[in-house]
Amino acid sequence: MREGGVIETVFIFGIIWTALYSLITLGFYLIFGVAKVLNLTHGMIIMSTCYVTFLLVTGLHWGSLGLGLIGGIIGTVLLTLIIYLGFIKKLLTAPHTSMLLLTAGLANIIQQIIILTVGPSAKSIPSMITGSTAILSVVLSNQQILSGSIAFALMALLVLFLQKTKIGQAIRGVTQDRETAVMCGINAEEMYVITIIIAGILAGVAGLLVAPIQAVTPEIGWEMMVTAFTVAILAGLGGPIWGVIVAAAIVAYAELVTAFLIAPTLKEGAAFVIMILTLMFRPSGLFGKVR
Amino acid sequence: MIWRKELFTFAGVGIIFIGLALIAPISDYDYYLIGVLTSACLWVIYVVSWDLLAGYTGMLNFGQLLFAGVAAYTIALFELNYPIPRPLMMLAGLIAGIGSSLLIGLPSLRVRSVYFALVSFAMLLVFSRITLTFIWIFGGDYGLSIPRVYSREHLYFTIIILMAVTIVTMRLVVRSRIGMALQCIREDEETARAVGINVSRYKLLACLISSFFTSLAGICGFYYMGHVGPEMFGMMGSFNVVLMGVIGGTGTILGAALGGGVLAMVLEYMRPVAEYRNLLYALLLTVVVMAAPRGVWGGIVSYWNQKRRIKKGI
Repeated sequence: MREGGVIETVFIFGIIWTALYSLITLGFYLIFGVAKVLNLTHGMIIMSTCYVTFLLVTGLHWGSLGLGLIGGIIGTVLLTLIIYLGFIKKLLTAPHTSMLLLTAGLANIIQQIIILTVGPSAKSIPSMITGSTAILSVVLSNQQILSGSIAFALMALLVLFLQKTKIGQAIRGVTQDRETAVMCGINAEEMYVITIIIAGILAGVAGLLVAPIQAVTPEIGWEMMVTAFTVAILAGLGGPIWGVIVAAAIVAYAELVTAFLIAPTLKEGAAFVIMILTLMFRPSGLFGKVR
Repeated sequence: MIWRKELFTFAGVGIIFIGLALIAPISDYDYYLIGVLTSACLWVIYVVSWDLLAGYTGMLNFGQLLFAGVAAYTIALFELNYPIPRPLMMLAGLIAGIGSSLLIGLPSLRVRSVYFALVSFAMLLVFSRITLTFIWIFGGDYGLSIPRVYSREHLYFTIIILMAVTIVTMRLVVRSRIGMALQCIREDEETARAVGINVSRYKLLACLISSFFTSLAGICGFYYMGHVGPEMFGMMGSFNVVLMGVIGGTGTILGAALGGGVLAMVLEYMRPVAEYRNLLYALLLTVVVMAAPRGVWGGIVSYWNQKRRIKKGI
């Protein structure tokens, strides 16, 4: 089988990373939209999912990978609920610097606990499926294809949920205008909790899908945080979900091109340039309505 | 007038300064002691500069050491590659350090201060990546080292003078109109705009002042160690600055100085339990933010004010 050219490779991998970046961002984006909380623990939550799964599968011998995956997601949702109900909720009315400090502190706690218990070295999570397929003469492992597909499917479900169900509409209402939504009889507090649970599920699945593709280190929590933030502000707050996907595509392709042309270690630099340009020239993002 | 109100501050800074200046000859220039004190003074400068941004302006900087790191790397590059006169090198380092603050300051002007935190944080990540990628320029993990240029004693005295100057200047700045404007911006940007404060200009000014002192401290620190490495752009260094500021008490300068000085010493003596240090610090930060958002100094001040009020019978 012939190796694909650079253009094909960037194109195909770009699609997969678009899906994963969107998924990484969405949880953060929803919480930011609904509760106006910049949740700095989001990246760490995704990272800890990878480690919980890793421990369940290899350390505790939970048997099948499937049980480990479910355990990972449940663990993530519990973690986000603890973080929200135990900490974030108490400071919702405090100045925004307090909230940032709090979530930064919590993120560091999660990271340090993982460094102390599992160790700082890179871990790899076993793939869910094996084998590889060639698309456009680019060889992809089936795991990568599976991760991309699940991510897209989950996003489609999320869009359906937000557009069609009562709860989804209520969440969008609170995002757009909290006061009016409360006046219409929506329990904003309840929507916060539901959003947190959804964000937890999204973060959990994102962690599970990313983990088998790249090496997992305690550092990727912060890297994912920066990615999520970049995609979120590029998409703009209060915008449609497909805006996030477009923004994720821009960031993913910019990073891949940088990685191929300059150096793989500088791919966060591309994200950073996008972040700076967005904030300077279009602070409300590409599709955002709230500034 | 402002001088009289700040008499307490100046007296305190003066006493500590004289104490620090006397300790060196009394201890017969004990290198360990001087080393600990020097690093504590540097931390104080970093934290005090951080407080101007975070405590007064509401721009929470997660990458305070970035300015110092950029200044130090610039000087190191000049020392190793282009031997121009030293004052010029220092000027270049200072300019680079201040310039790096514009890199996070400018994008944050049009958006709420909330974003500043994440931009500063992302910047740290990018700079550490750059130093680790272009190994032939920045020395990768090992960083850059130069032979000793100035004696430790000279640098020690320079640094304690710099510390005293920094605290006094910051105190004067925050008590002046500039400080008032910054606090107004912190409380409510819209209102600040409405009363005619040029928000962008004051935010930039805060960035410049803060990065000016941080860069100077970075330069002194570089000459003291003779070394600069990617740990300047590491997460934990700048996180320590945030922690010291929060525990000391934000928005007072003096609280930040206290937190920086005390915690830097604690940091030094916690070397035996180094692996748990970061976890402990993160826990401490969370607890302080939840339970005592005004920090130790804020607690002291409010206790003092309360006592005075009772005494006056108000």
